[in-house]
Amino acid sequence: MLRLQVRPESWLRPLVARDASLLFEHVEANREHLREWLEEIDALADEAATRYWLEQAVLRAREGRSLLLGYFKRGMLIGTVGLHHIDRADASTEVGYWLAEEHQGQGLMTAAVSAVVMYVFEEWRLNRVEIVCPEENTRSRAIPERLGFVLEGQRRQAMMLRSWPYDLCDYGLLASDWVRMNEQRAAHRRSS
Amino acid sequence: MFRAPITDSLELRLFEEHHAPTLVALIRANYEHLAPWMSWASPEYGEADALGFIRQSRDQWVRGNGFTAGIWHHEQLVGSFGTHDISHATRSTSLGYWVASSAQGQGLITACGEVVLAWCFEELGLHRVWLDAAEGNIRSRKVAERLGMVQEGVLRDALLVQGRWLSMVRYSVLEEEWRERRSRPV
Repeated sequence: MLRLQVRPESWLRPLVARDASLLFEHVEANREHLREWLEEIDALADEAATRYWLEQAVLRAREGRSLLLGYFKRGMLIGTVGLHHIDRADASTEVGYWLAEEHQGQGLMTAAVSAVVMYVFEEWRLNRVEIVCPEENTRSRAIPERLGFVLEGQRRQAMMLRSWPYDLCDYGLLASDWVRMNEQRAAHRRSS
Repeated sequence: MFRAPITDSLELRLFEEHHAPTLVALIRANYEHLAPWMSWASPEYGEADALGFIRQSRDQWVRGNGFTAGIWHHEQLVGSFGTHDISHATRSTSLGYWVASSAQGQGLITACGEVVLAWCFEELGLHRVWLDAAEGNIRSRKVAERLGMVQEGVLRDALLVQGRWLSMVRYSVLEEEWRERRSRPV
């Protein structure tokens, strides 16, 4: 019913237990693509496991620790955007995401992450958003880079994927960065 | 923000914690208007009450048990509209709403109700949607009637509000009735 609109034809809404078959179909159609950087996807082995995974996500959402959003385009589930480690005391959260292979390369995920970042700054009044990407996942890293996130550091061998270590890039964006970028964009629009 | 557009000037918005002061001001300003029908309406309604309500709304929504949202008209909060618990066993839910006295008489609730019913039947796949309106609350009963709901009966002295017993008129619409009504030209 209530949606976070991204573009005229795409929006986000929370995923809940009854979305299990929808999510499982999406994962099945993209399993090899998602597995490349997301080993956790193996947990969604069948519809029952997907339902359980969603129920766990809903529990975390009810505790205010995270929020899993489905990304829909013309009613079709094309990916997810998750808010993790929501910390009201320090006013920060981490954003994670995945997108179906066939929808890549259109700026769809950049637009969705941008909408979510605006949401948590404006509606939740958070101060800081983090994005963590494997150093070698260039597609994923392009999103925080396009949105003006600052590369704050690189954690050496912080992630094991199929028993192989990868470095993680830590990106951060502050509410003040966001305000400044919006002002610059507005000034640019006025002058052009 | 999470929203559902209703018309150009009207939309439902998920309540966020920063709406609390606005909600408190609206409820206090409408205390006399709401108090005859709403047991929670109080001249002492405060920020803690509003935050409790907002957090409850968020909890309902993130677990997929319907929603409760603010009614925003011309960018002003004017009321609330939502569903209560959704029964998946019986594929049913009920509706609840209130609107500020200044926003009455413009069909705002009915307009929201039309969109919410479409969501209930088409997106959630529900079979029955019902609501209770106090027998003396003519405006609320008119909303149910305009939404094509059928009066099923009267629950005698079902609520105690401000020391006064309220009999509640129960209205409902079934999926096939809603589809039939929607397919009729207006």
